[in-house]
Order: sequence, then structure tokens, then C-alpha cells
Amino acid sequence: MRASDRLRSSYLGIRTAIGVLGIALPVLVSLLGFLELGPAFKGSISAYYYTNARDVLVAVLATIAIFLLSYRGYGRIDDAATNASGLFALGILAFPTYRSDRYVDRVGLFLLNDRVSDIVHTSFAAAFFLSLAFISIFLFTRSRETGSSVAKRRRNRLYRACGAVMVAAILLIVAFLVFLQRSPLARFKPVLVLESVALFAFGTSWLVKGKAFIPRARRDRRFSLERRDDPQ
Amino acid sequence: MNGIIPENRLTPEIISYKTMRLIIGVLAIALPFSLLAGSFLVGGCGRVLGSISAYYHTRMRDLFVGVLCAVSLFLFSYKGYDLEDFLLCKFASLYALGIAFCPTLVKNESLACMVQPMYTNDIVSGFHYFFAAGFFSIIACISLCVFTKTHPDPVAVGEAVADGEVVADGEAVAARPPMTDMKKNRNKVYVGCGIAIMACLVLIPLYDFVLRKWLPLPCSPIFWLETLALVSFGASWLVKGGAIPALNDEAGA
Repeated sequence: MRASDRLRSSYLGIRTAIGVLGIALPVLVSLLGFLELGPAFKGSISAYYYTNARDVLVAVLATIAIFLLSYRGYGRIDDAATNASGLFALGILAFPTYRSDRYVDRVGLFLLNDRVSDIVHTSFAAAFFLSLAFISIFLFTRSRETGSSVAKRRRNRLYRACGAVMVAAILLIVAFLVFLQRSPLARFKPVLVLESVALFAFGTSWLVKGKAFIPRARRDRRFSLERRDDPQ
Repeated sequence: MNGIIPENRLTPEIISYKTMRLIIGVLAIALPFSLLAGSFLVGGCGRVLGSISAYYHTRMRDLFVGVLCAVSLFLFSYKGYDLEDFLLCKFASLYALGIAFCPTLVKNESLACMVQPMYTNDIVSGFHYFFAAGFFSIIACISLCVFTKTHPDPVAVGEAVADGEVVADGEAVAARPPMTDMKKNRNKVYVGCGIAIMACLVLIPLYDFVLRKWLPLPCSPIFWLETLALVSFGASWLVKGGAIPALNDEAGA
């Protein structure tokens, strides 16, 4: 592999890393949570902010945020969309969710009352997932030429499916928070489950975009070929 | 949006590895100053804490952890030009995570703005020192030994490299361009930054373990030495990323 191709593959590597982080987040916080809570789950991923999993939660979200902010992509829309979702991710961090224990506290970067912070938090989280769904459905599906290959069309179906899953998960979470919060359904921690599903969809979409499922030898060959065709 | 990528944006990757270097540089320089500003403005700290790591125990905890982990991911994904770059960056990345997840133990001061309970002990704190020392050693090494090398840089040299390709064993290998005057100037910056980091690596433990007893300075010398090391680290990566136009080659980058 040539030096320039190595540098290019750093970029694919970072897309893959983002995919892995998205998928790992719910798993990591749940496992770390077991150390503190015993065999129990918190109501949402955000609620792990008040457990020993806080640093991991912050680390993963901040990393995803800064990556999305730095992502340039293929055009002005890519740049704007990823910048927006990066800012939403930072918003999620700056305004933590409410404390589920008894007392009210001032939380987050701006020391807001935790109930107020929670409203801002939930709005940012919804905007974050919706912008990621937009990226997956409308931006990842574009191609270099008019006639796209069979494989690219297959990938596009997957990008659209991942986007649809994210939108569906958000709608269901909102429906639950508005109508069903006091119902017996709450025992099954639907917000945690749906958030995890949305993150898995996000991760899968980015892993495929990062060509993580293509064997390394074939990927390297593709780089060299693509570079030769690039208009310098 | 017609489903087709615009002609001039076909190779976003080629542009963006440079952005990755810039981001590492910006984050490294921003860390100490944003911690300082944040802790004054919203964290309730009336004065500078003893070290950068001590901010883990203030309201700036998320900022400290977030920035370190972001730097870590970028270092992890940065492959550089050869195996040496690759391994150095991987280790630096792991050490950065170690710094973030093994908090330091603050013994020498207790301030009202340290709101977090101390989730740490002597052993974890020992690991913190190990990771911090390892991290800065590697960063110094990258600045001194890796950045100063001359490589065929596809963006900086542009078409000249494409013309200078020679084919060896069926694989395209770019010819190594001669060192320009600007590259020599950049190398001076890299060496300067590397030496500054090494100096901090010696002075910080020297003060912490020996001089503190004889000469307790009120001005948080360890914080400022760490800041100097981070700024040197950042400056080196910013120059490598082409952020200082005066040091760039005329060919564009």
C-alpha cells in the first residue's frame, strides 16, 4: 500500500471506530452498571451518567461528537448535517438527564436544575438520532456515478433500513414518555432498549460505510484502484 | 441532492487526514485553557489547581475525560506513514485512555470546587502517573523522530509525487522529494516542541517528588509545566497539519 493510501485508510478506520463505539456504548454502560447496581438496569443510557459508568458514557459521546464535527464528507450538506449532529451530541453531554434519586440537584455544564436539564437533554437526544437517520438515509446512499453497482444498491438498502430503525425508535421513545410512562410497560426499561436499538442501527450503518466488513486485502486493493481513477 | 456526489468532492479522505492532525493539535492546546476558564466561570474554583489531572475532581470532569478520549480516538485511527508511526500512535492512544480512566489522587490540596468524591486510590493514581509519563514520552518521540522525517506527502507535493512515481516489484512507490527550506524550518519547530516536552517530563517529577518539600511554590508549577507540554504537543501537530501558513511549502500545503 502506498503512503497516501495508508493515510486514506486512517479515515475509513475512523468511520469504523465510530461504528464500534456506537454499538459498544449500551453494552459497556450496562456491564459497568452491574458493578454498582447488581443485576439491574437503569431506565435509559443517559441515566448511567449518575453511576460509575459516567466517564465511559461521556468519553464515547464526546468522541463521536468531535468526530462528527470534524467530518467533512462529500459536500456542503454532509458537512452541515454531521456538524449539526455533533453539536446535538455535545448538547446531550452538557445537559445531563434528571437524577432518579430523591433530591433535586444542579447538574451539567450550566448548573441547571436537573428537571430542566432533562427537558433540554431529551430534545438534544431526539435531534441527535434524527440527524443521524437523515445522514444514513439521504447522504450515505449517494454514489460516485449515475449507475451504481449491485453491491452499492444492497448497501443503500441497509443504510435506509438503519435510518428507518432510528426514526422508529425515536418515535416509540417519545410515545412512551408522553403516554405510557406510568404503565406496567415501564418495568421492561423500553427507553434503554429502544436507545440501544437506535445505537446499533447507527453503528451498523457507519461500520458498513467504513467498509469494516470487507476483507483487508480487498479493501487495500480497492484504495489503490480508486486513487488511480481520482482526478488529482 | 440528486444522489450523485459532486465531482470536486470525490476524495474527502485525502483532505481529511490533515484535518485529523489539526484536531489533535487544537484539542491538546485547548484542554488546559478550557479547563481553567470553565472552572473559573462555572466550576467555582477561585485559583489554579495543582495539576491538570486534578480537574477530574471538579465540575470540569466531563470536559477532561471527553477531550482526552477524543484525542485518543484520533491518535488510534491515525495510521501515519509506516509501522513506526502506527505503533507509536496506538500506544499514545492507549496511554491517553489510561490517563482519563485512572484518576489521580489529590493529596496536597482540598478546595471547595472539588465536588466529586475521590473515586481513586494510591494504586490507581500510580497508574495515572505511569500513563501520563508514557503518553508524553511517546508524544515527544513522535515530534522528534517521526515528524522530522521526509516522506512523500500526497497533498503537500501533489502532482510532483504523481510524476515522480517509480514502479518497484509491481507496486507504486513515490519518490522521496528533497527537503525544502520550509521543511527544515518545520523540523526546527518539531525538535523544539519535542525538547520542551522532554524538559517537562524531567521537571514535573523533579518538582513533585523532590523540590516541593524545599520550595513549595504557590503558583501551581505542575499545572503550568503540563500546559507547556500540551501546548508543545499541539503546536507540533498543528504545524504537521499545515495550520501555520508561514511554514508551509509553496506548493499549496
